[in-house]
Amino acid sequence: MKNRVRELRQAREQTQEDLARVMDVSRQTINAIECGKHDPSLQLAFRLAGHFGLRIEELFDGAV
Amino acid sequence: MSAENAMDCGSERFQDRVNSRKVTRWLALWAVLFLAGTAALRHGLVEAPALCWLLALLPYIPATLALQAFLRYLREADELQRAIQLQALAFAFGCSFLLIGGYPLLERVGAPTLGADGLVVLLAILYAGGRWGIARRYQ
Repeated sequence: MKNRVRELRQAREQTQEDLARVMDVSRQTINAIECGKHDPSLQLAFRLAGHFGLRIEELFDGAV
Repeated sequence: MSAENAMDCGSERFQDRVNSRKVTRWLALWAVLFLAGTAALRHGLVEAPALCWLLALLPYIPATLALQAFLRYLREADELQRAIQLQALAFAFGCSFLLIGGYPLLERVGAPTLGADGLVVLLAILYAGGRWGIARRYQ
């Protein structure tokens, strides 16, 4: 699933590890989400959206 | 999030590492008891039937605790790790099912008999290989 996690993380000058710490997941999980290799759980998707101050549909492109 | 967790969020979370170490510790104890019990029974070091039964049953204690620790690891694991583990388990189970299902035919044409110890090794190899291969897909 396409998403804007990498773009928004980099705009905040956060590393994958920084974001992983905040989300309480591994850096590998953040990397896999950014690369579109792993679709996050609904809970994590909500947390990510909340972190970036967006709605889920603004962060993730469910149509793809 | 605990302070320890906050300190370590590399490829594996602190809690995941703690939980997986518990699994490893129980498995190591199981292996020691299993090998020691096997050697003692094989070489006739223990003769009393009650003691033989005790030696044979003893490995089931760490094995049960290892299973309990593994289930806890799965429950609490980072979601990607959980996905990898579950896919590896499915892969190992599926491959074992296919291989064992067709093995009686192979035995009829001369393949060696597959014992319970062979099945354990087969499952372990398939699980480890599956986990390695599936984890690579997410890198």
